[in-house]
Parts: sequence; structure tokens; C-alpha cells
Amino acid sequence: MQPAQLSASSACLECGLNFEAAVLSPPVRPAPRQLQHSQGQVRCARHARNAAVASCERCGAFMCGLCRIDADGKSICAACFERLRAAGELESASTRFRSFRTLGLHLGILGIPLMAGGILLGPASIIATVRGMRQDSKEGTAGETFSAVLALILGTVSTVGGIVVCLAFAGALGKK
Amino acid sequence: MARRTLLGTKAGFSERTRVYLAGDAIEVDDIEGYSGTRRRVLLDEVRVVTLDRRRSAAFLWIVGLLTLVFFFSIVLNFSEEGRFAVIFAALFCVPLLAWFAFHAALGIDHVTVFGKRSNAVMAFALNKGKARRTFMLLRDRAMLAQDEARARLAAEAEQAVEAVEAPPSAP
Repeated sequence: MQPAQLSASSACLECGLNFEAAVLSPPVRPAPRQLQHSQGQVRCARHARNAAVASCERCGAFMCGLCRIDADGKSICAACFERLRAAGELESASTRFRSFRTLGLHLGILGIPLMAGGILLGPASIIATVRGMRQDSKEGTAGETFSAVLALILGTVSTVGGIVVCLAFAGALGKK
Repeated sequence: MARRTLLGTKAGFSERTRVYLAGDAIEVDDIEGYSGTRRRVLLDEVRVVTLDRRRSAAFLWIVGLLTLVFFFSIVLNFSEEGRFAVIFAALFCVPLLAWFAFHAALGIDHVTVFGKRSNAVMAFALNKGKARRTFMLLRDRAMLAQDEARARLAAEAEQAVEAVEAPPSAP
């Protein structure tokens, strides 16, 4: 095992900030060797000199090792990968998401000072938090329990507070 | 079993970053508002992991000035008639002073992972021990991943050489 080069403490030459660093040596991957096309073999649709190793499961085009992309259990060509990624149909290639747990926490916090609106903000906070917890469970995320529990508590408190405020208001109107 | 574990976070004015350790990579969620973008720093492509302590001059100036404002309001209202104003100002002045002193004395520890194409930064304001443990964990995991990648590449290279040198099979 090659040990990382460790520095006890170094100072940046630009700003003078002290820091510790572990310098590693990532392995260099050689360029993939492609089978040259020979008589009788099927050519790659994009690289005529390369032999095809598979066909795209979406469009059927023959592809060499350079073109072949394995994603979500399918072998597809680069063009189909780009189309599916743009359409959001490739789960492994999706990079954008919505943070429901954060939304739930903020709605819960907002529902405390705006107790009159808690009857709406509270349930919205709980729904968003539960959705966020399902999202975390699906992604296999650990270590986010505290914020989810806090959001549920705040959502519950603002819901109860909102109901109390509404009942008090209705009671006051009834007396009039 | 969790697929990824939260390592640390970093918050700015308009966006938050959450850094997770997944199996073979570090996943970074950049959240702006309620929309986020996810990117990965592969462990076998990590070049450097650093640990440093920073103190923000802008933060110290802003919090220091606010502390002085509330402190002067305490001094100016320090009388029997102004006790409520003093209490109100003290409720803000004392925490701000504590926050200023804490940041000036201890700073915020940052752990940064530099990969081939992207990097991940985590900030640890209170738990300095966790910053060091995270630094060492990332260093060790990156080293392990890179050793495994080197072994795998060596095995693949040997197989490729054997395939080239193998005599052609008889028809």
C-alpha cells in the first residue's frame, strides 16, 4: 500500500494560511484498446475502423468499446445516452433533485411565528418532510434524522397552533 | 444499510452544500433554495485532501460592529428607567459577543477533497474533532480505493498481455 504523502503543517505561499494535506497518487488509466475491424466483422456505426462489440438496446446501432455506455442495466450508444439523460429517463445520470426535507423544515419554522397560517403551513411542512424522508430512504441517505424529526415537530406544533388560533377566532366571532 | 452517509456541510448566503460518503465516491449536493444539483468526486481520482482553519474577516467585522452597537445601547440606557432597553440589548449583545469570540479564537475547520474534475468542501464550526476524523477517514478511503484500482488495472494489463501472447488456436 502506497502511503499518502502527509505534511504536518504547511503554509500557503499565496495567502499564508496554515493547512495539513494528504497528497495521493491516483492511478492513471490507459486508453482503452479497441479491436480493429477485420474482414467479416461488423463495423462500429461511428468508428468505421473499430469492430462492433455490441448493439445499442435502444436504437440498435452497432457500437465499439468507445461508444458503448452501460447505464441502468442497459447497453446504449452515446447518442441515446444523451437523449435519455436530457429527458430525465436515466436514473443513474440524473443530477438535479428537489430538497423536500429542507422545504419541510422551512415551512415548519415559518409556521411558528405565523401561527394563524399554521393550519396550512403545518400540514404542508409535514407532507414535505415525509416526502423528503422517503427521498432519503430511496437514495439510501443516512445522518439526516435530526432535521427531519425537527421539521415534523415544528410542523405538528404549527398545525396545532393554527387550529387553536382558528378556533379562538371562530369563538370570538361567535360571541359577537 | 445506508448507501451514503452525511460527512459534513457548508452553508453560504444563498446555497448550501451537503457532502456524503457513498461506496466508491464522495457525493456533493449543492442546494440553492429548494433545488439541488448532485455531483460526484470518485475516490480513486482524489488528488489531495486538506484540513485547514479559517477565520472570516467579513464575518468578524459584521458581528463585531453589531456587538458594539448593542453594547453602546446598553451603556447609554444604563439607568433605572432604561432597564428594559438594557435587557433587550443584552439579549442580543451577549450571544453576538460569544459568537465573535468563539469565531476569533477557534475559527472554522474546513476539509477539502480535490478530485480530477471537481472538489468537495465541508465546514466544521463547533466539532473540531469531527473535522480531523473526517479528514483521516477520507484520506484512508481514498488510499484504499486507489490501491484497489491500481491492482485491478495491473490485473487487466496482465490479461491483455496474455491474450496477445497466447498462440492462435488451431482451426
